Amino acid sequence: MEKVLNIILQYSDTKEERKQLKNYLDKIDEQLTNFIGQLDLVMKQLPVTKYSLGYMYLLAAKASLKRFQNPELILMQIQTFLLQCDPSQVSMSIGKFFFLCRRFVAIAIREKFAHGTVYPLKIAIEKIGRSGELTPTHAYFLQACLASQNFSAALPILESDVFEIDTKHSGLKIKDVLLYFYYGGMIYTGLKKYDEATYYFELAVTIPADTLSSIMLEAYRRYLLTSILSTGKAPLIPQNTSMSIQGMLKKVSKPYEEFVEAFRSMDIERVGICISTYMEVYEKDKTFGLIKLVRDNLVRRKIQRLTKTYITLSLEYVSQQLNMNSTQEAEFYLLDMIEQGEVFASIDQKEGQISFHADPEPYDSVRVSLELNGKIQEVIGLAKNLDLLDEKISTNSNFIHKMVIKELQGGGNKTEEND
Amino acid sequence: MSQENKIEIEKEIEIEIDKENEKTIEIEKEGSGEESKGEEENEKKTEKEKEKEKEKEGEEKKKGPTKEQLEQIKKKVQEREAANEPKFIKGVDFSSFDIEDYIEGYQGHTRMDRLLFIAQRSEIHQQKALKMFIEEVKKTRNIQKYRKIVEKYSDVLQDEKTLDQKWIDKTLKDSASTYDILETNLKKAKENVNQEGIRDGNVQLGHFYFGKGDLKSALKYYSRAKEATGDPIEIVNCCLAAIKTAMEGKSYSHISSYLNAAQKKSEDLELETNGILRTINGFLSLTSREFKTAAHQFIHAPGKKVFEYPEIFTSLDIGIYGGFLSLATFNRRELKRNILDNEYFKNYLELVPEMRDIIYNFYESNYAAFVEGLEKIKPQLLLDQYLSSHVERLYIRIREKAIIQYFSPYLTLDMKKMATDFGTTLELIEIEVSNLIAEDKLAGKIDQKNKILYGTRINKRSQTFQEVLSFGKDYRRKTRALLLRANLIQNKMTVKRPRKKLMMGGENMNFMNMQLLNLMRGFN
Repeated sequence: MEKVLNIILQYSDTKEERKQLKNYLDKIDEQLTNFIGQLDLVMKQLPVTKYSLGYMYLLAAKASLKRFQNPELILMQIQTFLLQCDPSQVSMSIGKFFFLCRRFVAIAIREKFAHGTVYPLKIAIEKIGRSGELTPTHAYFLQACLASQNFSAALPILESDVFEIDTKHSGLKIKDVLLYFYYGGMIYTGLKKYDEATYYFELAVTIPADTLSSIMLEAYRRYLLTSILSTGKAPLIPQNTSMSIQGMLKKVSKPYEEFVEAFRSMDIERVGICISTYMEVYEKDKTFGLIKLVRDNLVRRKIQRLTKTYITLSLEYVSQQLNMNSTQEAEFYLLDMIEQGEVFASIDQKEGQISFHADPEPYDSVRVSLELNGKIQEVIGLAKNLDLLDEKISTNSNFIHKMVIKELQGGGNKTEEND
Repeated sequence: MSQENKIEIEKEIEIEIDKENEKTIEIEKEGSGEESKGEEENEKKTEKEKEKEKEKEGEEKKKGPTKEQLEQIKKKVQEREAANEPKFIKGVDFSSFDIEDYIEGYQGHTRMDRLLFIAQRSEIHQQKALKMFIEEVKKTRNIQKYRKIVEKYSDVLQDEKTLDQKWIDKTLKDSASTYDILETNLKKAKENVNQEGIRDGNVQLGHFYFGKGDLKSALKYYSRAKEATGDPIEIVNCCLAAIKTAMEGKSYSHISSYLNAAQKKSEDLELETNGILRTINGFLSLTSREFKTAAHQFIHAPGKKVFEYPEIFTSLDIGIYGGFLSLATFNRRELKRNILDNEYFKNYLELVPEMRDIIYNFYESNYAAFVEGLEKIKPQLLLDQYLSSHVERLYIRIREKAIIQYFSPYLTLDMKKMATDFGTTLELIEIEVSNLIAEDKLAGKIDQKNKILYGTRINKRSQTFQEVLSFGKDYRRKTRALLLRANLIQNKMTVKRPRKKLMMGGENMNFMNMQLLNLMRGFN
């Protein structure tokens, strides 16, 4: 270990040196695990920022263990590392960095310390990611937020819309992508933002695929449920799902498809029967919470249907129509809906009458015009991106090659491919 | 006869076995689907299952049904027959319906079929209809049908209860001798290579079998007759005979193919038979529930010529079907153009004055008279063999249209008046209206306290804003998803089947997936 320490100390100053250092470290990487006992000592002697690269390898070697005598120590070490490391050094061996992050979260979850990982990981993302680019750390970060129930911390990252992908720079794997969107959907669900949740689950489901992944499957099931919660309509399978897996998805999710069908029929009893039939499945999949929310939602949807047809209504009529036990229950639901802004109405308690109003939003304030402007800008930006993408593809030599061949073949002249 | 029955039952048994096989296959597939989740494992399992199923199928077909299976299948066939048994239509008063009037216009086998239909649907008319049916069936050679009906309804029939053995014997003898004559005629024509003779011989044999009730053979001979001639008129006649046969046997594919053949031949020629062919077109649309198309086809069927083909439909039918279907599917403009201003169709509508009155009343918004007329004509429509199954559905549609038209000029409307005009109670009309509103067919809102229906003034401005915002949101989402997918594909990232080796880096999706799943489930 002495040798290693010295090499690290010597070769960490210039870029050239660091390259050599990296090669060396890669070579001896496996052997490092043999010196577990000494790693702590060595690491203590290395200031993190200056010697980030070497420190990282040592730390990663330690983190690859399955068990720790002193888990708090390793967690502290990683935390400090993430906060203080030097991005330029670390990005030379980005795979190790991600490995470290993954172990960080895994250990923390086991030790019930997930909340402590949220902030360091956030810093980590800022350090190594280009803005808007998806990295594996994003997925781990979301995982940590989810594990610690710290949903709002994830919001800034989620809302910054990371959709760029560059595998060479980030070493991203498809699993990380799936996880990012799956976790994202779960977090939005936790925040009760069902619209965005549905969107993220949909993204997870529409990722190009030859074969079914369990992450995608779970995402699909939740997609069905959150979709109902946000729009009140039973959803169809997302249009752009890979053809080969569409059939498989539906087949394996029968309890959910049936539930969606029951919801579509707007029949409260039928929904109840469906739930009791498949209760075990829902509990096993841990989707039972969502299912219950959806059933609640059915009542609200029915009330909303009533707003469409009536201007005034008696509370008694509502409770009758929806098979409720009393007018109080109807009143309770309505109050909740009015507060949530799902319905515009006022209740005359003395008469037991409800009056529905039209949507009072006049769309004539400054706020609205600012909002519109912002959205227009966004759309222009996106359209530009699309144009760029289109240009890139159409000027790609391979593509042009293919198109030319196609045309020539179509014209009846046979040409041999010239390379 | 019993041999034929046996063959029929055996065929049914074959069908039943295949259905049993299909069922077991389906159950197995479902089972395998619910259990497995992993990728490769799933694929492997279903492949193995499929092989197993193929083996099973092969075995089954070789062995043939066991005794127990036969028993089970017989039971199922009987149950199914019992379920399909036609029942009386309840809740409608058929006393205003006059059988003799109705059946007068028809000729041939359709009299028999329609009478049987009426006997099975209307309790009051059952006896009379059955008696008339037996009269008709004795005009044919269809001994089997005669037997079947007499046995089935023996408790209803009084005088005709016992089988008329004399008639049966006579018919058998008669059939045998007629058959011989026809066979010889056909043979002679073939020997002399007399095309017209061959055609005629085949047609005669077709008629013969048609009269016996052997529809399959009849179709066979009609088809041969069609092949044997080049004269378009004769071809069309053969097709019509075949269509008639197919209609009795309810074989829609045959009707369709012969209709196509006939129409092709008579495309440019102004034949008298064009009318009936178009009517049959309408009939096919009716059976596939394309009501609007059917309406058009019936209305334009006769054209300028006189319509004559009482062996399937009468001109009264054209008036009724055309009028009824257009009432259910046309809007005001279409009604005016196709019916009220249609010279040719008007003549047919005049043949059924009740239908004509209903349509006029609807158009002129005399709702009370309209509703009354509609109710009055219902029994007659319900007892028509081809229209009966669609009547309820179309009635609901017509009523909906009436309500919507009734409300259209108003800004506010007292629902009590509406209820009286439509002949129902306040509660019922409220339910009907609220259903229409919920289905977006009526733009209005109900004030339940005062029982008033308000027309909605849609705030266009607000609506526009909402639409724009939602469209924008949609676009942003779709484009982002598109860019994401494009990026993934560019970087060659897709969900692939895992490689068999387990790698430390966690590149094996299957293995890591399970671990991750456990982790994920930890915090749900």
